[in-house]
Amino acid sequence: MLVFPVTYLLFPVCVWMFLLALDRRNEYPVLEFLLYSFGLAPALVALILYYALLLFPGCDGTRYVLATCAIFGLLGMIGILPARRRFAMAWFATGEHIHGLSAWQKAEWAAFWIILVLPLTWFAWHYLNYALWYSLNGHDVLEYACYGKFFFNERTIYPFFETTYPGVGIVFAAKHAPSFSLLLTWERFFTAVVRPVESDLFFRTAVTWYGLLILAIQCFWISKLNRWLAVIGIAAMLGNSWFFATIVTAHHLDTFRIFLLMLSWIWLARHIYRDDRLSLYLFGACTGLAAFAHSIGMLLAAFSLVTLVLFSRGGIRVRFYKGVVAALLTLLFGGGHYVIDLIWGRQWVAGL
Amino acid sequence: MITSKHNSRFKHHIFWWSLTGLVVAGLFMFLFTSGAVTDFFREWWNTPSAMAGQYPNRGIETVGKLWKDGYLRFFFNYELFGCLPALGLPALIAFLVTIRGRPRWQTALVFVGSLSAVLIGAKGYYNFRYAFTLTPFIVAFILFMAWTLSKRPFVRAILLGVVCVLAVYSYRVQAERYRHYTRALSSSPKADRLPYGLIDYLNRISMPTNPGVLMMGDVWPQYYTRCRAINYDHPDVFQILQRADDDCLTHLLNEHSIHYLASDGESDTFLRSSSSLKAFVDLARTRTLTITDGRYSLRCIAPELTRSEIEALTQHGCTIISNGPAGNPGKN
Repeated sequence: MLVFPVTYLLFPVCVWMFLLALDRRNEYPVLEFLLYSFGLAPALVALILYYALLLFPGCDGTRYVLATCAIFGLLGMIGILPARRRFAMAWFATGEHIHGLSAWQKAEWAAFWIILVLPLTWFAWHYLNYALWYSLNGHDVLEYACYGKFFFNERTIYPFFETTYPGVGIVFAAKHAPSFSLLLTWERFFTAVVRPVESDLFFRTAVTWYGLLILAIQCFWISKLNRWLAVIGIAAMLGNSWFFATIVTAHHLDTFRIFLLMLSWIWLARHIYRDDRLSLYLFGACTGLAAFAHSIGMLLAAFSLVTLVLFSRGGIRVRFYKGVVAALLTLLFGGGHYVIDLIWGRQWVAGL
Repeated sequence: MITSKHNSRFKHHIFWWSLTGLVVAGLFMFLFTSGAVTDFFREWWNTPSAMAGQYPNRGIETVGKLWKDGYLRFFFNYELFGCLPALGLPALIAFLVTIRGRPRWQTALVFVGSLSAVLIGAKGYYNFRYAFTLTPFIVAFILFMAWTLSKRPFVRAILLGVVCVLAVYSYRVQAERYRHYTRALSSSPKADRLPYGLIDYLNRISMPTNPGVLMMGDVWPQYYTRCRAINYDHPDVFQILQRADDDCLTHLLNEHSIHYLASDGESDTFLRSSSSLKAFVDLARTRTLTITDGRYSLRCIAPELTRSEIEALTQHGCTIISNGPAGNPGKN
């Protein structure tokens, strides 16, 4: 069970502190970075494991776990001082803001949070008691899980670039990078440090976690227009029965990839609006992670990069330079998988 | 945010846009009620789609369905995504009408979203999961447009009213699905979601005999059991399956130690209707002993079932069907 607080809480806090350290001009809200970090951290865990299994195959599982923890620890240490300062400022500003509200505004603020928190509590109670305990099922999900189990057993990623692996009977048919499967590998490595059990409890919660984060981010942005419009937005999203099914029992990777695509487009818009370096870097990183999650993310990354070049500020040289920087980051943060696959692997891109 | 300049331009044009819309709608209604267009439309809608053979059971059997539940699925798949996304197209038109004066980031997002919609619609029309990619963005876009199209409270209230009505109506349209999913949120995990009886059986026999299992559908034997599981499309066995002759099952048993074929009704239908394995599926159906829980089945090539195993399986609700000369279950 330790894998939950570490991956969903401790690592996101490290990423959050690092992001706050990068934001030297204090331009971005503390809460916004925190929301993004909750989703970025597990995706980064998958990316770190990918590189570890690619570059150092066959090691003991504990080493992979320690290496991942060390990287997040380093991110946290880099950001600890700026994060303390920013957090104190944000805490103070929130306190002042609440203090300055009229009684009516305070009531409205409280009503808004109660309306959000009550259904969430109801959902969490039912989810933790019932839906969480449904076994992994469904064709695609079980294939992703089999890949994750395979990476854990074999401690290598190389066979993923081939169609079959002798002796195992597995057929690697997925066109997507193995980001989602590596979440199961991470869970197995992590639990094996304490006690070797064939657990997939954490893997099963990932889709629900990212579904709730999609709602939170949509709520965060729409509430900038109007708080109650954000509530309508949540009701409208849950009026999509497939979204509801996905966060309850589907276990599929849909919300995982959509969340990362969402971040990619948010940072694209942010960069076009603000034209600062941090938003460009985060756009490239999130686009890479979205590509690493699913092949649709890779295809849409090309469109996002074209949009960046067409719409960002500056002369054509500057925009081209930005495009190159974002493309390199996209490759580094997971898009490179498809290049490796094109040169040494199954070359699914060539068959498009 | 929308500027006052563009807001006034919108107000200036709104009369002409409304008038054009009414004329077009009136013309459409007239042609529709006159019968000529209805027949033409119905014929077009019901024309068999060329994609139906390639993607069976995807709900795109006719040209009309291919457009509604394929290319334009983001907007019109009421059964899965609700009614609200249908406002996505009017919202896009409203955005394009008022595009001048809008901030560059808004245009960029709509540009990248539209390109993505075209790509996903054209290449991923057969899979609703691909269309699902854009639904959170479409919902957010509709809300954004409903709020920012006009600053007049009356217009805003009407637009938001339409959004709310459609959102509520979505719950009604999909009521049966919600009942199903909320049952999942308030009942214990059902045993019939996975073939637990078959999983237990395979795990029990995997220790002494280490049998191979050929997976004809979902890969549950590979994930949940300790058996050597092999996909039907693995090159080692695919050639054998395609032959589908009398010796086929013997080859699987002797050369690859495959004792079991794991499948389910859906995969049987899929393989029989769309692949070169139809003959093998028919062969397996008639020449094996089948252990089934109604949904999943385990076809035994060389059954070695003991009476205690049979009892254990029947306690799990499994049925054993002898389909041919494959064997005689029930050894002591």
